[in-house]
Amino acid sequence: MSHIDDGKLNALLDGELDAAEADAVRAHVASCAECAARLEEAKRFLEGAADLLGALDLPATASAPPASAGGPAAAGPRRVSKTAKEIAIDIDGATHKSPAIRPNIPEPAPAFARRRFDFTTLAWAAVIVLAIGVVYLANQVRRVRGSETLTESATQPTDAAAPVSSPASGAPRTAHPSHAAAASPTSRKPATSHARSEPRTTGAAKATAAGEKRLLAAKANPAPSTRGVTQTGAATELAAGAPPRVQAAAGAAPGAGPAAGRVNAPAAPAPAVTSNRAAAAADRAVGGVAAPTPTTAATFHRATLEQAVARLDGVVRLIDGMRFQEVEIGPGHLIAGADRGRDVVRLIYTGAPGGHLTLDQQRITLPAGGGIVSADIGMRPGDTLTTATPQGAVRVRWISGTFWLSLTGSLPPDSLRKLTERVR
Amino acid sequence: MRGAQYTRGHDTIDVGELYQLYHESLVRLLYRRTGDRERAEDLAQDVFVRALETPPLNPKPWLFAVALNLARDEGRRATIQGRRLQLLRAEGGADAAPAPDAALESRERAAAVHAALATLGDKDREALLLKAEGFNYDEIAAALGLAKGAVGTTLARARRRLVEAFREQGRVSDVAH
Repeated sequence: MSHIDDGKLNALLDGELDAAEADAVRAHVASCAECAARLEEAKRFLEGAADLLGALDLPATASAPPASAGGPAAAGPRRVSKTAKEIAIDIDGATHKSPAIRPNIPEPAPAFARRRFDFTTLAWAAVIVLAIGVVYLANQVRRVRGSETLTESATQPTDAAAPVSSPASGAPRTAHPSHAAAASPTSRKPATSHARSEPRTTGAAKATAAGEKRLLAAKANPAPSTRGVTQTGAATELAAGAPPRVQAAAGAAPGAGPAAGRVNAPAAPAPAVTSNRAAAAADRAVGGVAAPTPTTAATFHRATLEQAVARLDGVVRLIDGMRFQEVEIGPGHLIAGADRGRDVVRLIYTGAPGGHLTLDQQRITLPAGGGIVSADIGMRPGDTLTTATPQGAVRVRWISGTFWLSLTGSLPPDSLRKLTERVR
Repeated sequence: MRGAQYTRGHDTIDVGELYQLYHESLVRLLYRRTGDRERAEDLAQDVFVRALETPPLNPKPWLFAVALNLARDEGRRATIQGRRLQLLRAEGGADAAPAPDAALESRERAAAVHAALATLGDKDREALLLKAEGFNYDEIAAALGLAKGAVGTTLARARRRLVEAFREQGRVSDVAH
């Protein structure tokens, strides 16, 4: 037998060889001084590298990661204190996997980091105080105006960016990007080659500056149900193996005609619609109205509550008894069924029972003679439009006073409609 | 992120569960890769955002591959920023309270390891970091797009280079002092 290469020796040390192979290697090492020496050397490098990486354990911070439920991450430094030297390597008997290296070396944060933390704390404190003040003021204003009676509820914003505009299909305005990815012929293909293509894809998402920007905006809002607007283009492109681009998301605006990043999902199931009149109107609106110029950015971005209040002429509608975590503002043309010429304010409730909730809202002008609010919205005061995806994500839209509202969540339609009654 | 469920084929992927399982491990890997805890946290968030956008079929290698890709890109962009940060640290160093010896030593060692890691090629470094997070060869191969048979060789080279680069730094440091 020729000499054993370093790769195989490392595989032996890492417990990656099957029993027969490991036996053969051990037998050779036992009779070959050179390979025995190289095995010892490989072992020293393995232990040395493990020791060195052990010096790079996470420094303690004020914001400790959430407790893990289990799995590899659960064996974090605070729970399993395996130092590199504890790695057992049995080269004489049966090999076994070397455990993950999670040395327990508590390190204080660097001095410069501590200074930055102090500053950040102050900044956060200021933001919190401001936010509390604004919420209080908003509540006061709302009380003065009197609470408006709510009659309706929400959807999946995903259906917003998605193939709402798929006039050929005639149906699905609620194709979730991921659903669309599963359903559409173009996206089914990458799904099958997923394991290889996706890391590359996201690697390619090294992205354009625009893609980065959008993702950063998206990052601020990790709720799946809230991802729709900013994610549609990305989801489609990622699934198709292309880097994400902001323009794609914007270009996929409802009714904008064929555009890059658009999801065509003819196979997607039709949504459950509980207002035929409203649905028909909305469908008409979505299918055929030329998009006015968006009022602000091409995508959603994080905003302060003050900015949201200003954008909604002084009043923000909130879900009573719940606390939102994030605020975003984006152009209405990215949301199916919204007025495309106005901005949408989005409140994200990440701690909601049953998952994330997204409350989108626009200030609207009611038509003097009744009828639909606008061609884009396609609804009249009192209408409720409920759409559902096969996965059970639900969106309910309604008009309340001078607000167009849309609530999205992974709740049963009845529960979500009930929840709309708490939007004050 | 609980409740963020996606279905692909017959598999239901709960991104919240993935978060619970892998967030800490991802942050640690990214911290080792970037040397910046806050940045590591940010990048880990980016990874999960991408998982929400494109629910992965084989989540574990996917998440870590995306994380390493992001860190790689981030590293390129952050080079200039890092220099600026070093300057700031140098300026602020005079009035900074003296750190205890042990902590100082620990930080110096960490910095030296980071520097040694930086001398490795991307694949070598990433294979090493993934192994340190408990990945087996199959998972490393999947995450890095390597053949499984090449993982042992990659790790062998990475371990040797890391240790040698670290030793080399020590020599340079000794000379400097």
